[in-house]
Amino acid sequence: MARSSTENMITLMSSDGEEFMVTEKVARECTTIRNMLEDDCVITNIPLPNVTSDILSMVIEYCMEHVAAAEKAAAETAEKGSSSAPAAAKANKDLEEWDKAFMNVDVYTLCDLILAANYLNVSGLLDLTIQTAANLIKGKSPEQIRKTFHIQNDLSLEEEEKIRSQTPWAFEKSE
Amino acid sequence: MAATAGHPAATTLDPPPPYTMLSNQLSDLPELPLIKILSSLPTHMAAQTSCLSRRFRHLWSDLPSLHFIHTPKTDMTWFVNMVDRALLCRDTSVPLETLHIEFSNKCQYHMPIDSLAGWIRRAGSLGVRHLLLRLESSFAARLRCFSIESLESLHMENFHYTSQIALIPHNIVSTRLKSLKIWLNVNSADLTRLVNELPVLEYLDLSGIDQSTIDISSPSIRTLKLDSESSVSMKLCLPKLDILYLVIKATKLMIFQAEMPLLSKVKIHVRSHGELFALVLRKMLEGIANAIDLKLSILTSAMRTDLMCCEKQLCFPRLESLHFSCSMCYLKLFEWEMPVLIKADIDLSYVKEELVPPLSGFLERFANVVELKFKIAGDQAFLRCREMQLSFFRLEYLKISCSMCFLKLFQAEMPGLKKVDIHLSYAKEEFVPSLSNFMKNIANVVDLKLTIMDDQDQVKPFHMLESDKKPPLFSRLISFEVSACCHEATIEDVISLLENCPVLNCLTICHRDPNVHEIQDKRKRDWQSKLPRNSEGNFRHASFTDVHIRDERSNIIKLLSRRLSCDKRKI
Repeated sequence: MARSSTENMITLMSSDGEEFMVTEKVARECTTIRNMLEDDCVITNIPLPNVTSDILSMVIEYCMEHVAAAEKAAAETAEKGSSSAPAAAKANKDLEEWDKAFMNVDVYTLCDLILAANYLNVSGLLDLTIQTAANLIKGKSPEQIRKTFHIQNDLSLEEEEKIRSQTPWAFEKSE
Repeated sequence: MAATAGHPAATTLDPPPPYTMLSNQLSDLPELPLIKILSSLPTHMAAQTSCLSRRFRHLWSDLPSLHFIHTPKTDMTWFVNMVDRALLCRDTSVPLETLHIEFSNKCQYHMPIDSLAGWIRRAGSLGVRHLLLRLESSFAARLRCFSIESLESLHMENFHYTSQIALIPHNIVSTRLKSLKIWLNVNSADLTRLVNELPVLEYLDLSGIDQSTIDISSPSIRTLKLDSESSVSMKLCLPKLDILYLVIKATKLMIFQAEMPLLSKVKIHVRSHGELFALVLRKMLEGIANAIDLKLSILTSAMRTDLMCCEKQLCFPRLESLHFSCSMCYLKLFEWEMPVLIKADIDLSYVKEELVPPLSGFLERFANVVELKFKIAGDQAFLRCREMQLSFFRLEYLKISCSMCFLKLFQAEMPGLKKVDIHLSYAKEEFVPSLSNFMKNIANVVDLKLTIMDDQDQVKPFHMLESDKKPPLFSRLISFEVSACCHEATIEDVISLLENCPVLNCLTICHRDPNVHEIQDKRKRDWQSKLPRNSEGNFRHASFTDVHIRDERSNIIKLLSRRLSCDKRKI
């Protein structure tokens, strides 16, 4: 993305030591970073020991896309004096499509993204990943959920039986 | 994450552990995101995760939002058991944000009224903030909600309407209530008192109020939705109101008084056939004259004539967007001044010939809009009035749905037009010159969508372009979409248009089955689609890109004419 040189750049460093230069505007999408910047405005290098480079690059990709979409909408509103509803609706739909394509990842990456979005406090990305995970759970039996998310069952047979009998409605399909 | 911080530094010569995320499994996520995931599921699905593993065993019971949705198949004892368990066994130190209980209207079982009252009481003691109920009417249980102090929003729906009056309890303690949606019949005095007793109420949605008088006054309400068919008198004193949705019955309303200085968005729907008291309508319009965005629909065909009370023209100084749907006989009432209008969406029905002159005056009011959607119902073939000479100098987007003969009347200058969507019905060969004329008026367009539905009396397919005249040059047209019966003449028309669109990039053609009734068998062939076979193996649609490239265009023309010449050869 072409940027004017006057814009503040921030370096984010992933847990594996890779550096990512982003504009301050993009970095501010992460509430955690925004708070750091507000506490100490001269900070330019931020280590993120909890986020690997591949996940961090995805988070940055998400923030850049959403910042660009918001800027485009703001520019259109400024140009026309008011935003035209069909154009705004189309832009929203495009962004939704983009989000949907962005969520086409395996469950490991999805969980990493949830963790990163939670840690960096990117509310849009957190909502998106959480909804994606919820949709993966919806309509599945416990066995299918375990398989989808590679969950090890550490309950004994008796314990599981007891849980199932406590809330039969939850397990009505599998009985 | 806690584990990262406490990770011991590598003390041996072993390579340091790779810096990876410590978890990439659902079970290893921190509690907060996990709870968020489970909260967004219906609670019985979330509860199902309790048997996944030890990590999940008790997670669901502490969810901040509980959604219990009863389907017709759900066993009622199981349902009651689960809600009981989730609410009664819940640790009181874990706050409950949302409780959502919904029964299906096809429910075979009796409502567990006693349990319900207990759940609401318990939710109250857990400090519930949002309560959503969809039940069969059981006033006692519902009205108990008003005694929950922590409540911020309360939405109650029923599946059967009952006009039985629900008495609102005195001494309401829900002083934090911001959002209230009820479908109950409450008597007028109780309603006025209820609103008075809720000091921070911002959102009020009322339906089912079967009372002749409605008198609402509140210093805090920002959104009001009101569906009240039997009101004779309506008084609204709402200094902070921003959004108003109103459904009223034409024949009843006699008095309308409103004080809503900050109003910006308004939607009014006048329901039922009957005569509307124009004086009341005018009062109502005066009351909402501050609106920025107005949707108005009046679904009634007749009007009392006591009313041509146009001593003073109405002015909407802030109105930017108007959506207007009504019968044409009301047009006289809408000679408004709208100095800053940008968008207009007009939908007219019950069109009568004597009303066309006011239509011209009416349309002149929209001379400054940037976006115009205009729909006029029916076949206007009988209209024999003079043509309208209109100009829309700022218009960029025009959508027009009308009968093909109406184009004859609609003569407009629109130099700034970028996008046009035309939907023509009752297409007949005799109106082709009107269409040609119209096309000349819009030749500057960049994006054009054309839909044509043939008149059912049209026996023979016909050309949409006049054969003896050259089609206009569409020098800026980039995207062109046609949806019509793609018989031979249509394809030939499209081909000759292509020659006049030098920068056209995207071309889409869709075949519509003809609207022509009782086509004789031998005629049927004439109306068949002559589009080339597409990738789905049918002849119903085709789309092309890069039409502006010369070679590409000749290929497209060749492809389009392939089935024409072939058929001609057969003949």
